[in-house]
Amino acid sequence: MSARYGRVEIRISQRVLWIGARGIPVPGITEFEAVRARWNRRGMIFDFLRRAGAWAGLGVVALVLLGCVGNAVPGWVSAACVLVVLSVIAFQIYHLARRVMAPDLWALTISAGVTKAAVVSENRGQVYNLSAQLAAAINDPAVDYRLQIQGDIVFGDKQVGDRLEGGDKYVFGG
Amino acid sequence: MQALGDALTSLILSVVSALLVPTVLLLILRRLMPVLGDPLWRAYCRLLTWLVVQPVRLIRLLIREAIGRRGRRRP
Repeated sequence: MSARYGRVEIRISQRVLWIGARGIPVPGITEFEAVRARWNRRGMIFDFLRRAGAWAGLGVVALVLLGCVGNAVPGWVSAACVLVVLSVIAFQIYHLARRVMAPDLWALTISAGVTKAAVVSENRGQVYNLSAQLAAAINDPAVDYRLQIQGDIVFGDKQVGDRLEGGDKYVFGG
Repeated sequence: MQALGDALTSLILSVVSALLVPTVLLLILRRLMPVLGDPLWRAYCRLLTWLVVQPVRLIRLLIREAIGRRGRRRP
Protein backbone atom coordinates (compact mmCIF):
# COMPACT_ATOMS: atom_id res chain seq x y z
CA MET A 1 0.00 0.00 0.00
CA SER A 2 1.14 3.51 -0.63
CA ALA A 3 -0.45 6.42 1.11
CA ARG A 4 -0.47 9.41 -1.15
CA TYR A 5 -0.48 11.86 1.73
CA GLY A 6 -2.96 14.28 0.29
CA ARG A 7 -5.35 16.30 2.40
CA VAL A 8 -8.36 14.11 3.06
CA GLU A 9 -11.63 15.69 4.11
CA ILE A 10 -13.72 13.56 6.46
CA ARG A 11 -17.12 14.68 7.69
CA ILE A 12 -19.82 13.09 9.78
CA SER A 13 -23.03 15.00 9.42
CA GLN A 14 -26.67 13.96 9.73
CA ARG A 15 -25.66 10.35 10.05
CA VAL A 16 -23.73 10.35 6.82
CA LEU A 17 -20.02 9.73 6.77
CA TRP A 18 -18.45 11.74 4.00
CA ILE A 19 -15.04 10.59 2.86
CA GLY A 20 -14.05 13.10 0.25
CA ALA A 21 -17.02 13.22 -2.12
CA ARG A 22 -18.33 9.79 -1.20
CA GLY A 23 -21.09 9.52 1.36
CA ILE A 24 -21.69 6.39 3.41
CA PRO A 25 -24.84 6.30 5.56
CA VAL A 26 -23.72 5.66 9.12
CA PRO A 27 -26.59 3.21 9.91
CA GLY A 28 -25.44 1.11 6.97
CA ILE A 29 -21.98 0.65 8.37
CA THR A 30 -21.62 -2.93 9.46
CA GLU A 31 -18.07 -2.84 10.72
CA PHE A 32 -15.26 -0.43 11.25
CA GLU A 33 -11.91 -0.96 12.78
CA ALA A 34 -8.80 1.07 13.37
CA VAL A 35 -5.84 -1.02 12.35
CA ARG A 36 -2.16 -0.54 12.26
CA ALA A 37 -0.72 -1.32 8.85
CA ARG A 38 2.83 -2.42 9.37
CA TRP A 39 5.16 -2.50 6.43
CA ASN A 40 6.44 -5.92 5.55
CA ARG A 41 10.05 -4.84 5.73
CA ARG A 42 11.40 -8.34 5.42
CA GLY A 43 9.50 -8.73 2.14
CA MET A 44 10.92 -5.44 0.93
CA ILE A 45 14.45 -6.57 1.73
CA PHE A 46 13.95 -9.94 0.03
CA ASP A 47 12.55 -8.18 -3.01
CA PHE A 48 15.49 -5.84 -3.05
CA LEU A 49 17.94 -8.73 -2.78
CA ARG A 50 16.26 -10.51 -5.67
CA ARG A 51 16.30 -7.44 -7.88
CA ALA A 52 19.81 -6.36 -6.95
CA GLY A 53 21.05 -9.92 -7.43
CA ALA A 54 19.37 -10.08 -10.82
CA TRP A 55 20.97 -6.80 -11.89
CA ALA A 56 24.36 -7.98 -10.64
CA GLY A 57 23.87 -11.26 -12.55
CA LEU A 58 22.96 -9.37 -15.73
CA GLY A 59 26.06 -7.26 -15.26
CA VAL A 60 28.22 -10.36 -14.92
CA VAL A 61 26.63 -11.90 -18.03
CA ALA A 62 27.24 -8.69 -19.96
CA LEU A 63 30.86 -8.56 -18.81
CA VAL A 64 31.38 -12.21 -19.77
CA LEU A 65 29.93 -11.55 -23.23
CA LEU A 66 32.10 -8.46 -23.60
CA GLY A 67 35.08 -10.49 -22.44
CA CYS A 68 34.34 -13.09 -25.12
CA VAL A 69 34.74 -10.56 -27.92
CA GLY A 70 38.05 -9.41 -26.43
CA ASN A 71 39.55 -6.15 -27.57
CA ALA A 72 37.02 -5.63 -30.34
CA VAL A 73 34.88 -3.61 -27.93
CA PRO A 74 36.48 -0.50 -26.42
CA GLY A 75 37.17 -0.57 -22.71
CA TRP A 76 34.70 2.17 -21.89
CA VAL A 77 31.81 -0.12 -22.88
CA SER A 78 32.65 -2.48 -20.01
CA ALA A 79 33.10 0.48 -17.69
CA ALA A 80 29.71 1.87 -18.77
CA CYS A 81 28.14 -1.51 -18.20
CA VAL A 82 29.51 -1.68 -14.65
CA LEU A 83 28.48 1.91 -14.03
CA VAL A 84 24.90 1.27 -15.18
CA VAL A 85 24.56 -1.82 -12.97
CA LEU A 86 26.04 -0.03 -9.95
CA SER A 87 23.77 2.98 -10.54
CA VAL A 88 20.68 0.81 -10.71
CA ILE A 89 21.67 -1.03 -7.52
CA ALA A 90 22.43 2.27 -5.78
CA PHE A 91 19.02 3.60 -6.78
CA GLN A 92 17.40 0.43 -5.47
CA ILE A 93 19.26 0.80 -2.16
CA TYR A 94 18.01 4.38 -1.89
CA HIS A 95 14.47 3.27 -2.71
CA LEU A 96 14.69 0.43 -0.18
CA ALA A 97 16.02 2.72 2.54
CA ARG A 98 13.16 5.15 1.98
CA ARG A 99 10.57 2.40 2.18
CA VAL A 100 12.11 0.62 5.15
CA MET A 101 12.33 3.84 7.13
CA ALA A 102 8.76 4.90 6.31
CA PRO A 103 6.62 5.07 9.44
CA ASP A 104 3.83 2.57 9.98
CA LEU A 105 0.37 3.59 8.84
CA TRP A 106 -2.90 3.67 10.69
CA ALA A 107 -6.12 2.97 8.89
CA LEU A 108 -9.78 3.09 9.68
CA THR A 109 -11.36 0.35 7.64
CA ILE A 110 -15.06 0.71 7.05
CA SER A 111 -17.45 -1.88 5.68
CA ALA A 112 -20.96 -0.91 4.66
CA GLY A 113 -22.53 -3.77 2.77
CA VAL A 114 -20.48 -4.22 -0.35
CA THR A 115 -18.80 -0.85 0.07
CA LYS A 116 -15.40 -1.02 1.64
CA ALA A 117 -13.21 1.93 2.36
CA ALA A 118 -10.23 2.82 4.43
CA VAL A 119 -8.85 6.10 5.59
CA VAL A 120 -5.13 5.79 5.90
CA SER A 121 -2.87 8.13 7.81
CA GLU A 122 0.36 8.20 9.72
CA ASN A 123 -1.43 9.93 12.58
CA ARG A 124 -2.73 7.32 15.01
CA GLY A 125 -4.62 9.88 17.13
CA GLN A 126 -6.63 11.19 14.21
CA VAL A 127 -7.62 7.72 13.11
CA TYR A 128 -8.72 6.70 16.60
CA ASN A 129 -10.56 10.00 17.07
CA LEU A 130 -12.42 9.46 13.81
CA SER A 131 -13.26 5.93 14.92
CA ALA A 132 -14.68 7.23 18.22
CA GLN A 133 -16.74 9.91 16.45
CA LEU A 134 -18.08 7.33 14.05
CA ALA A 135 -19.14 5.13 16.96
CA ALA A 136 -20.84 8.11 18.58
CA ALA A 137 -22.66 8.99 15.34
CA ILE A 138 -24.34 5.59 15.21
CA ASN A 139 -26.58 6.46 18.16
CA ASP A 140 -26.47 10.22 18.00
CA PRO A 141 -27.77 11.89 14.81
CA ALA A 142 -26.62 15.24 16.14
CA VAL A 143 -22.96 14.39 15.81
CA ASP A 144 -21.36 16.86 13.44
CA TYR A 145 -17.69 16.25 13.00
CA ARG A 146 -15.18 17.46 10.49
CA LEU A 147 -11.63 16.37 10.13
CA GLN A 148 -8.87 16.99 7.67
CA ILE A 149 -6.10 14.49 7.76
CA GLN A 150 -2.93 14.09 5.85
CA GLY A 151 -3.28 10.68 4.31
CA ASP A 152 -5.03 8.63 1.72
CA ILE A 153 -8.41 7.11 1.06
CA VAL A 154 -8.72 3.73 -0.51
CA PHE A 155 -11.92 2.17 -1.73
CA GLY A 156 -13.23 -1.15 -2.80
CA ASP A 157 -10.89 -3.66 -4.37
CA LYS A 158 -7.89 -1.54 -3.72
CA GLN A 159 -8.55 -1.74 -0.01
CA VAL A 160 -9.63 -5.36 0.14
CA GLY A 161 -7.33 -6.77 -2.48
CA ASP A 162 -4.14 -5.05 -2.02
CA ARG A 163 -3.62 -3.56 0.89
CA LEU A 164 -4.97 -3.85 4.31
CA GLU A 165 -6.60 -7.21 4.48
CA GLY A 166 -3.70 -9.43 3.79
CA GLY A 167 -3.15 -9.51 0.06
CA ASP A 168 -0.32 -7.10 -0.28
CA LYS A 169 3.31 -7.93 -0.28
CA TYR A 170 4.29 -5.02 1.83
CA VAL A 171 1.63 -4.40 4.40
CA PHE A 172 0.42 -6.45 7.33
CA GLY A 173 -2.95 -5.39 8.68
CA GLY A 174 -3.99 -5.67 12.30
CA MET B 1 32.52 -2.61 -36.48
CA GLN B 2 34.92 -4.66 -38.58
CA ALA B 3 36.86 -5.63 -35.44
CA LEU B 4 33.64 -6.65 -33.68
CA GLY B 5 32.56 -8.75 -36.64
CA ASP B 6 35.97 -10.42 -36.75
CA ALA B 7 35.84 -11.12 -33.02
CA LEU B 8 32.36 -12.64 -33.28
CA THR B 9 33.39 -14.77 -36.26
CA SER B 10 36.46 -15.96 -34.42
CA LEU B 11 34.36 -16.75 -31.35
CA ILE B 12 31.88 -18.78 -33.38
CA LEU B 13 34.70 -20.61 -35.16
CA SER B 14 36.33 -21.41 -31.82
CA VAL B 15 33.09 -22.89 -30.49
CA VAL B 16 32.52 -24.89 -33.66
CA SER B 17 36.08 -26.20 -33.70
CA ALA B 18 35.83 -27.14 -30.02
CA LEU B 19 32.66 -29.08 -30.73
CA LEU B 20 33.89 -30.61 -33.96
CA VAL B 21 36.26 -33.18 -32.46
CA PRO B 22 33.86 -34.80 -29.95
CA THR B 23 31.05 -34.70 -32.52
CA VAL B 24 33.11 -36.53 -35.15
CA LEU B 25 34.43 -39.02 -32.58
CA LEU B 26 30.95 -39.78 -31.31
CA LEU B 27 29.59 -40.16 -34.85
CA ILE B 28 32.38 -42.63 -35.63
CA LEU B 29 31.73 -44.48 -32.38
CA ARG B 30 28.04 -44.56 -33.18
CA ARG B 31 28.75 -46.07 -36.57
CA LEU B 32 31.28 -48.61 -35.29
CA MET B 33 29.72 -49.52 -31.91
CA PRO B 34 26.03 -48.58 -31.94
CA VAL B 35 25.47 -50.19 -28.51
CA LEU B 36 27.78 -47.69 -26.87
CA GLY B 37 27.62 -44.91 -29.44
CA ASP B 38 23.86 -44.40 -29.53
CA PRO B 39 23.37 -43.58 -25.82
CA LEU B 40 26.51 -41.49 -25.82
CA TRP B 41 25.31 -39.57 -28.87
CA ARG B 42 21.92 -38.93 -27.27
CA ALA B 43 23.57 -37.74 -24.08
CA TYR B 44 25.83 -35.48 -26.10
CA CYS B 45 22.86 -33.99 -27.97
CA ARG B 46 21.08 -33.40 -24.65
CA LEU B 47 24.18 -31.70 -23.30
CA LEU B 48 24.41 -29.42 -26.34
CA THR B 49 20.72 -28.53 -26.04
CA TRP B 50 21.19 -27.82 -22.34
CA LEU B 51 24.23 -25.65 -23.06
CA VAL B 52 22.14 -23.54 -25.46
CA VAL B 53 18.87 -23.45 -23.51
CA GLN B 54 20.10 -22.88 -19.96
CA PRO B 55 21.93 -19.59 -20.55
CA VAL B 56 18.88 -18.25 -22.38
CA ARG B 57 16.65 -19.32 -19.49
CA LEU B 58 19.05 -17.80 -16.98
CA ILE B 59 19.13 -14.48 -18.79
CA ARG B 60 15.35 -14.48 -19.15
CA LEU B 61 15.00 -15.18 -15.42
CA LEU B 62 17.47 -12.43 -14.55
CA ILE B 63 15.65 -9.93 -16.76
CA ARG B 64 12.31 -10.86 -15.21
CA GLU B 65 13.66 -10.49 -11.71
CA ALA B 66 15.45 -7.27 -12.56
CA ILE B 67 12.31 -5.60 -13.89
CA GLY B 68 10.23 -7.08 -11.09
CA ARG B 69 8.03 -9.42 -13.09
CA ARG B 70 8.02 -12.93 -11.78
CA GLY B 71 5.49 -14.42 -14.13
CA ARG B 72 3.12 -15.53 -11.39
CA ARG B 73 1.62 -13.25 -8.84
CA ARG B 74 -0.49 -13.87 -5.82
CA PRO B 75 -4.16 -13.03 -6.42
